[in-house]
Amino acid sequence: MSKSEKPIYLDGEYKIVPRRKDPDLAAYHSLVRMIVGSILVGSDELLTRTRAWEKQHPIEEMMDDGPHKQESDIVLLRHLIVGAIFHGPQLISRPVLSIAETTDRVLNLAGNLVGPFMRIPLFRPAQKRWRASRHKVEALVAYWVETGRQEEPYSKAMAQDLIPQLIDDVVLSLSMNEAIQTLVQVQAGMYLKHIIDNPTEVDELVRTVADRYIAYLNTDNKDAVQELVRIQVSAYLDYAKSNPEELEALVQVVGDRYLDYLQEENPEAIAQIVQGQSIGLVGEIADEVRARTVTSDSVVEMFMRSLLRRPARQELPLPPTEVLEQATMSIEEVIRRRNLEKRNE
Amino acid sequence: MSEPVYSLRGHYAGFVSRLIAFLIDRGIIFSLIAIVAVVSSYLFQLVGLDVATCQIGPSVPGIACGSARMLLALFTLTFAPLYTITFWTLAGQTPGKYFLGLRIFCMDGEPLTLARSTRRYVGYILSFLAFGFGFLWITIDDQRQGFHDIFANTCVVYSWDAFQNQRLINRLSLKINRSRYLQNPEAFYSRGMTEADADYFSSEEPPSSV
Repeated sequence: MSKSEKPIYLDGEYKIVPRRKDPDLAAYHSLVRMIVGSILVGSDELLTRTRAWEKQHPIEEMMDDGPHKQESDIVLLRHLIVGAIFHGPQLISRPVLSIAETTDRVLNLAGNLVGPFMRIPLFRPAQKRWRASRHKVEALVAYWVETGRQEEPYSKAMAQDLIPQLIDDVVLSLSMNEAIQTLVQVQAGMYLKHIIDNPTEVDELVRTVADRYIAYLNTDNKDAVQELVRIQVSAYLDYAKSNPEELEALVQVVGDRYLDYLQEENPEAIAQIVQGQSIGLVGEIADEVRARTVTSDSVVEMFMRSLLRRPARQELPLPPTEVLEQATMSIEEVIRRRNLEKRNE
Repeated sequence: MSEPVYSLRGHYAGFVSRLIAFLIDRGIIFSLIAIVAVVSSYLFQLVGLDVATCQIGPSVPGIACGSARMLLALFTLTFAPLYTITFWTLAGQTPGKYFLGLRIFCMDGEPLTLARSTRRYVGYILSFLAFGFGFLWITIDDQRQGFHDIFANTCVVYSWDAFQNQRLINRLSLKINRSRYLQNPEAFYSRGMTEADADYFSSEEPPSSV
């Protein structure tokens, strides 16, 4: 079954209804997808925000339980309309449902009454046509439901991707617009004058905004901040690489200052550094030797197996679980456990 | 395409790692024996005994000199097994193995006892007497056990996060085995090759993992 075909339960059995492809309507479909997606995404977002707001501000908190003031007729009418909007759907849904039920009953009754007559061979062509058109409608409805099911997430994804791009494009085109540039310059000039005249106000504002922004970055956007820092650092490193003389001079100045500080104030720190460096060097050598030997283990094994015409090893077998557990423990832990066992014995 | 890397900690250690660890241990043992020999010779010379030239005879100094030589010889002979067995029993690794991040365990996960360590050392000698084939067996054995490991029912594993150059290994493996497989695939099947192995050998590019 291809991706464009979907099984649909129809007339007592599952049938394959091929998806219609209409190249002439491709542009229309794209546009509809964008509109539907935008509405869905927007309504989702709106719903999330309204729910969050309602949670923060329960209606009970804002209710006025005191005696009502004398209200004019217009105000009363307004309240009536607002109330009707709230309770209207309940009021309407009941009659609509009962009408639907009644219609269904009437149609069933009519079917029961007309049924015996319809079975007469005379009415067979009419019966066939009725059944065919009923199947057509059912298939169409099923097809539309399936299309809606498939298009909804696709449209949502499209809107989620494209809306930010569209906003960026609009902002970009606005920023290039000469009239807007002039307006911004004028506004900025006025604002700059205000800033120069009111330094304390600006200071307060900057502090508040900065605090809020730092809190926001710390909580919600750690990854984004890390990415930004990484980009900045790599840009700085590129600059440092392209200007080695600047970097060298800086390192020399800082290094000299640090060495003076260590020699004069912390001679024991230098001893520690040298000791640490030596141990670190041995560790590095050990790591290097280990890394190379691990690969050599497999390479030598491969050659040996090849020489003896044994098939190449696909995977290194794991030792028993008990050995694995022990291997992940530190040597101190192994010795401690062994001593403990001996003491218990 | 980058190869997936995973730690081999706890996996059986291979021949090269173990050989280097062995050589380091031998280096330490011979250095210590040499130091002891030189220092003791010097000390014996202080009391008038030249262990290098003395003749073993009936005279008392001769007997003393002979005893001194015997002592040195005894030390030389016993130091290597003592060093090895002591480290195996107490720490499950010798300094050489520690440097290479290897550790010895019994196959049931228990650390080595004195008896097991001694048995393993005897296995060492047997492996050596078999023209070193007992050591080379590590490269062929599925569990990377030498004769001494099989004899003492022990294994040597990586006790650090070992990572190997998977890309290099994949390429070499493909190079070594592909032409032979393509020439005579039946021979490979008769040696226990599976369908997965066959796919691997017939592939154009080395697979992402072995």
